[in-house]
Amino acid sequence: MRAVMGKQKMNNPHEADICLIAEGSYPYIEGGVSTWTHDLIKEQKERSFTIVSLMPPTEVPKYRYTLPDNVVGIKTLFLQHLPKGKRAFGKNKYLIEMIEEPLNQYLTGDFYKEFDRVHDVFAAYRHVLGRHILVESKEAWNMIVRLYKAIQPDGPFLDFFWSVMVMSRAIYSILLPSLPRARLYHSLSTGYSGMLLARAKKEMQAPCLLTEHGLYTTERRIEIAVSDWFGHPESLNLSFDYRKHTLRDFWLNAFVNAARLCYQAADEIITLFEGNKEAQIRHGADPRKMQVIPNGIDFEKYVQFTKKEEGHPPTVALIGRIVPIKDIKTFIRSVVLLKKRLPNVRAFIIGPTDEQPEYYEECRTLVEHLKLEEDCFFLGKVSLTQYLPNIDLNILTSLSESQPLVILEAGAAGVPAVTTKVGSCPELIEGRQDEMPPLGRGGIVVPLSNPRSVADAAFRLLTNPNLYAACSHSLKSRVETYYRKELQHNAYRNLYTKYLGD
Amino acid sequence: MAGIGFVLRKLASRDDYLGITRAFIHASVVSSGPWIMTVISLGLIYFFTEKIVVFEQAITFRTIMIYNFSFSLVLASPVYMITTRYVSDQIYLKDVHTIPGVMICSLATALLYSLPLAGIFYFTKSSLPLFLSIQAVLNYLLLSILWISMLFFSAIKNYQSLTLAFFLGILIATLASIFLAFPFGASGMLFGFNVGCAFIVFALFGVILAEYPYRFRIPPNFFSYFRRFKDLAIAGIFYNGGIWIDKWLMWFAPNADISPLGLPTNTTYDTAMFVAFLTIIPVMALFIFSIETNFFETYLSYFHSLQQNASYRLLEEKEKKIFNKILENGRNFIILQGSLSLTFILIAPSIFELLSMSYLQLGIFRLGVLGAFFNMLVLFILVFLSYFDSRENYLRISFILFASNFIFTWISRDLGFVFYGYGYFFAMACTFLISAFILINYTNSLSFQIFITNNVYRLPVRVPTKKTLKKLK
Repeated sequence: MRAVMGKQKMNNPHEADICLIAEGSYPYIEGGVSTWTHDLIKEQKERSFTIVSLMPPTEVPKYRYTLPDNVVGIKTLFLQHLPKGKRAFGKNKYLIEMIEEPLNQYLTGDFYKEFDRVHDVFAAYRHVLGRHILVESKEAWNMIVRLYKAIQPDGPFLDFFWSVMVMSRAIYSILLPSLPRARLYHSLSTGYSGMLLARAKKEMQAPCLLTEHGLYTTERRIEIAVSDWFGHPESLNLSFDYRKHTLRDFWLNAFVNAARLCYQAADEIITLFEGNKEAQIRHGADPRKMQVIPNGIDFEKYVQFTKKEEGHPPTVALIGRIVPIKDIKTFIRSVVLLKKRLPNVRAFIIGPTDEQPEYYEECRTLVEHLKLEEDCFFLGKVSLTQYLPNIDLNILTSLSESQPLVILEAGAAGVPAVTTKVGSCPELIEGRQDEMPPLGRGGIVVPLSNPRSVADAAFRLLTNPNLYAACSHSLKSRVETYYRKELQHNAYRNLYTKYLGD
Repeated sequence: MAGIGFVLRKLASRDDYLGITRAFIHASVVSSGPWIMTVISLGLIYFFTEKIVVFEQAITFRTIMIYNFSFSLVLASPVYMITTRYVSDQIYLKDVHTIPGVMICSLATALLYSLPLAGIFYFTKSSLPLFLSIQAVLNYLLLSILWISMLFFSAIKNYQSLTLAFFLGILIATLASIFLAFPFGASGMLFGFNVGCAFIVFALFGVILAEYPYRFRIPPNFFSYFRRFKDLAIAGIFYNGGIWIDKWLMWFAPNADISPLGLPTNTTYDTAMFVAFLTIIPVMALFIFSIETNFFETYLSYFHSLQQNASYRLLEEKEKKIFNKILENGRNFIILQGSLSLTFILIAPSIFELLSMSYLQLGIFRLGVLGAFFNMLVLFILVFLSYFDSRENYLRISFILFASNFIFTWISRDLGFVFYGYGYFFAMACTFLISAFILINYTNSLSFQIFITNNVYRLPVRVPTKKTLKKLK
């Protein structure tokens, strides 16, 4: 049946109300943003959607979601993948020269100011441009060498070459393919999706929305910080020269530029929580365009699990994927400290372990070293509701988050939380500044990578029944008042109506 | 090719003349072993049996040898090229466990299509007696195996045994055919020659399997190489066919001989060309040696700098060095081989007297010497290009060589006896000029070629086609 539907969709790709632009997510990769997208499409039944899905060019992707019936088209765009294009063309040199300065700006300056120029070149020569001219021609090679000489004349050439190659190919692959027609374009992040949104704004003159879950620029900054490629061990030696330094900066500059472009193009910049706004404004977002629409949860579903199971030992839980960004190790260390003061405490780590197996291995080794095998359990990917009646405290040690739904889900069931001061966590726990009436705190916010603070906070909550009850109650009321799914969906319904009519 | 450099350098680094001479001998065996073997044994056999064998029998033997030599070389060349590529990739990946399997698979592949052809040819198209046909097919089989086994030696360090195997094999082949010639005629000679060949083949197998004592298993992806590198396979046919096409065409010239078997040859042309080809062997060995040692070092140094993330300025310097090395090698070869070839052309009459060859062949011989000179230059250009994996240019040059030799020889054949040999000479000279132009162009923009044109540094972008995407839905 899906096959039949698919066919129908492909035949009629141009009459969608909304074009969603997703990067590395829906419908091929599972995760928070993909689930959010899937729900959005399902909820806005009266609108038709077409999807542009940007994917890395490595694997043949498979659908992870059954596309709802109101999806009328899907276009998969592989980053860096280019059509062959013409080989020789009288204006090779001219074309490459037109691209050179913008690329330079992309690495070191303000690309967003040059975007129109590049865009026009691509728009005018779309039928001839491709791999042959843009990547494999002598002119393109000479341009890379010129850029190298201008930007980093004595730096490591291979690294520079690769960076420029990957970045420029990615831009080309965004600028070349034709866009599906729609009455409104809605990007789910900045970055390459954002660049595509800027293109849509220029070419289609349609209204453009941006919903930013996590901050793309911040996420990439962290990714770059932990990537091996940039940090060769020798970069730590005495000659702390500018080289490795600049390679990192190129990438960051590129992402900041992409963000700026996207903020400029978007008519509405939606984010999940207040805390994101500051960084968005720093990267050029206009405060007048900004609004917060937090994600909601199915309150009724979770509220049923409020009643705790009798007689279980005090239990703390970390709910999340076993990956470095969740800083599981800090959680494990805090359990040791907590156990010294509360010997019968038990800890669950609930979440898939297969995303970064080597990190999972490290965590298991840590558990063994700290002799916690009897107290700390990796439960894998299980249904949260099954364990909710046995969990007393929800702990989140992440180094970065946008708006973690687990705090809301457990909160609806009356489980207070100890979280690090990242993303919207402070807002979820302590309430937004403009919360009226103030509902009180729903847990304790602690600093990053600080096992002792986590253990202290957990100890206080687990041993002080009054505090626990107060936190439990206020978190639950906050979720009920502000973070219900219906509120989120209504907000988007209104937004779409504002631009598309009824 | 890359593999043999180290051992050769070790041999030469003994710093005495003997060491260097030995390295030369090995290099010449590696580069032209089967060729030297055939020409020398043919010469010796011919010289000693001239008086004792009926002329017809000697011609029969010679004809079969030439047919087998040329056709086995050309027909085995696609498998040869592909297998060479596969083996060098395996060595690069440090996975030599597959080599016994590769050897068996490549031999099986080559024989699968070429042996039936040889069988059909000798049993139905020629009027050979049964025993002689069997010997002829056997000889074809042995030569084909020999070509392909040779390639595994570029990866093996045991050069002494290779040289020894060839030396003993030639000795056995020559003696056996001489002794069997009188009682059994052509089939005896062929049988004797086959015994020598078989000795070499088994010795080579022994050395290869001793070097790689692993169990047979089907080498992974081996057969997909035929699809991925079909340009190499085609280039192999063009190159080897290209250096034989003039002989094949001349077999149908007005002065051609029809052997008693009904198989045409052109003794006048063929012998002159064979002997002419021998004149480049000493310098060729020297040159192979030079490429494998001093050029290879410069080449490696470029790639090391690249991988160690050198600055562009440094890469440019190394690029220039590679260019200069190529020019230097080319200049050395031209001077050395040029003077040698000139000497041979001048003293040709004395050589002819010594070998008691017909003066009718003098002109062809002289043109052959010049043609072989350019032919070798083309070969070296191909070797350089294959170092940079420029398969496109390799194929291009091979095709030019084939086509020009075909066309020019055809014309010279039509123009008459006085012009015989000019076809080959002009073809090689033209191909050299074009390929020199290609090489200079290529090395002048070496970094561009390595970073952009070459597969090695192309981005690992593997994108599903629209078809596979549709299937998934």
